[in-house]
This record gives sequence, C-alpha cells and structure tokens, in this order.
Amino acid sequence: MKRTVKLAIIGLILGVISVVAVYFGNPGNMGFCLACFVRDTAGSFHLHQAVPVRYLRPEIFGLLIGAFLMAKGKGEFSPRGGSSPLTRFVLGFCVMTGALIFLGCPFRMLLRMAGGDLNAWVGLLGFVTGIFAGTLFLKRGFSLKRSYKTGTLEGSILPVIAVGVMLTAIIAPTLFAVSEKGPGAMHAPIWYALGAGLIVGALAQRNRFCMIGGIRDMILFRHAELLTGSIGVLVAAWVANMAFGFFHFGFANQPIAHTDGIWNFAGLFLVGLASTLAGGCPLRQFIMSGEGNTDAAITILGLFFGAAFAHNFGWAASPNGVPVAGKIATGIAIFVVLLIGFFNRGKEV
Amino acid sequence: MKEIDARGLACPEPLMLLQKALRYEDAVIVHTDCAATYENLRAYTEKADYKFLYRPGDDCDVLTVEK
Repeated sequence: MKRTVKLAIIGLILGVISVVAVYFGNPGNMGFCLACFVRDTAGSFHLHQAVPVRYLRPEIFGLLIGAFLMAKGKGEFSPRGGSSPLTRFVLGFCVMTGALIFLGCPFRMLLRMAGGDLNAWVGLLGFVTGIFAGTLFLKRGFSLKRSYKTGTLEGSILPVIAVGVMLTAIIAPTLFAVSEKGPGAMHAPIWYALGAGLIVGALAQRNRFCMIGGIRDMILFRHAELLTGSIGVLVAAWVANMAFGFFHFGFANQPIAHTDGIWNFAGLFLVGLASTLAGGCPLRQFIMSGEGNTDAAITILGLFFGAAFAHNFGWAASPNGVPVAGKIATGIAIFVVLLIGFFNRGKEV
Repeated sequence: MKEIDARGLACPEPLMLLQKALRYEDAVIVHTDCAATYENLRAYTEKADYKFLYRPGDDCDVLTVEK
C-alpha cells in the first residue's frame, strides 16, 4: 500500500481515537494533546501546584511504550544520542511555552479545528509561519549535529520509566496529585487512555507520523506525503465530532481555549519554529524516544520543565486569556529560539 | 561520485544534503543508519524518477541515487 494512503488511514484512526477519548471523559477537543497531558502529568508529579490541571495522563506513557514495542518488533530500536542535548532541552522548554499560550500542541490544534474552534485556525496560521521560519534556518545549514550510537540501557530508560510509572499509578495511585475540578478532573478511564496511547504510539512509529514534517516537507520539497496523516486526523475528528454532537462552530466558548488571536498565532508560531529546529512535533519526540533516541527524551524533559515553569511562574494561558507574564515569556522564548537557529548554522544547503 | 555521510543526522538534513549534491552530480552515495532516512530518500527518488539502489549493512546502509 502506498505510504500516502497508509498515513491517511493512520490519521483517520488517530482522529477517531481522539474524539472517542472525549466521549469517555477527556476535556473537550482534548482527546490527545501532548502539551496538555505533559502539563497535567507534571502536576501529578507535584512539579507544579496549579490545582485544576493535575492528573497523570496514561496516554503519554502509552505512547512511549507503544512506540518502543513497535520499534523493537520492527528492528528499528536504535539507541543514540549526543546531538546537542541541552539545546534540545531548551527547544522543548520553548515548545511547551508556546503550546501553553495557545492551549494545545499541534495535534490538539487539529482536534480544535475539527471541533469548530476558529481560534485554532488562527493558531494554524501561526504554526505554518513558524515552520516556514524554521525552514529558512534549515536552508541556511542549521544543524544540531550528529547523534551517535549509545547503549541499549541508555536508549531504553524512558520507555522503562514509562512502564514503572504506569505500574506505580495502578498500584499506588494516591502518590500522585489529582485535580477534583477543572481539566485535570476530566479523563477517560485508564484502560482506554493507556490503550489509546499504545495504539497511537505504535501506529505513529510505524508510519513516521509528524505534524511538523508534513508542512515542512511541503515547503522544502513539495512533498505532501506526511501531510496526508494530519489531514486524515482533521477529517476523521470532524466527522466523529459531528456524530457525537461535540462540534461547536465559532470563536467564543470553546472548550479550554481563549479568543486572543494574536497570542494564539504567536504561541503556535513559537511551537512551529522550535519544533522544526528540534526535528519534530511533540508527538514525534515521544515516538523517537520510544525508538531509543535520547536526544528526543531530553526534549521531552524540556517539555516537562516548561510546563512546570509555566504554571509555577504564572505564564500559562487559560480560557480567560494570556497573562502579561505569558506574553513576556513567549517573546523571550521566540528570541531564544531565533538565537539557537542563528548560532547553529552550517554551510548553506 | 559524491558520498554523503548521513549517519546520525536527523531529518530533513539527509534529504537536503542529497538534493544539494544532485545539483552538481549525476550520482550520489548516501551512508545512513536510520530507517526514516531510507524511506524519505526512497520516496524522493521515486517522485523524481531517479534510480535508487539499496545495500543494507550491519551498522550502516548504503543508498545510491542516480539521475
């Protein structure tokens, strides 16, 4: 089967899984959101004290484990690292900063678009602009240098931690903070969340699903292959939303969203730019971690730190809008990412 | 024939290096240890209607692209 068709089918499956997660209890238009789920999980680990957003999301651990198992099964588990890890940590931090201004990762952007949230379409403009800006650095030889083979244990640490955390969550759930109200109190049953994560992780690993890659390859190479996956998600989620009655068209009163267009644009501009330089969207970073890529694992740690800082220092957005601290943080993060892009140029390609 | 060492390089760098090399060469050899790079380069060469030869190795695969 052609890769384009496979990716489209994967996208359709991911879209349906995501909306069914909302049916089972996840927040609106948040069947799958790497940024929100990392943020909620950071809260459950007591890394931040934002009361409404603390819950250990099994989806992200399922992602890691699913990708790991698929990679192992296909012989693609390849432990490697050493490609500017601290720079990637900072990029992950900046991706999360932008995502918590928009209130979603690129995958949630698609789900919000499919749910009728017009704010997400504004975010899409920012996202594409950010990726375009990232490709300008790529064309000027931007590189975070090579990664090198490392040990099997090193490459397996994050997937093993994922298994350990899930077992602990099942055996001793009271160790983790849980919200009683707000988005953290809205969640699908563990069996569905973990299962969804496993399936998404396995499918996304097998087919190289990447939100950034789709638009980036269209800009750089006029390849639409990877884009078909994202389109599949959008279409399937839209149909499922209509079927479940979750579709609500407009700017106002969208679930876990604000209507500040400039900052929806800016937040996803930052996500698009930083993710392009990091080599993939947050979902792709989780998949690569499952494949043994420790640089992607460090990017994920950056995501966690970014989420914790955003709530500890009050710069995360909310449905009420974007705080002043969030606007300042976004501006600083964009500047930092531009510096990273500028100082990691090689020969023009 | 130009040779590109794409081992350990993250996408889309290997494809960008290949594209650049093919501006000046009719044939390019790419060394890679990444399955995603193999798939991306194969898809690119199919679309461009170039010849694509693949020689798997233990530590590193060798891809040859000819116009």
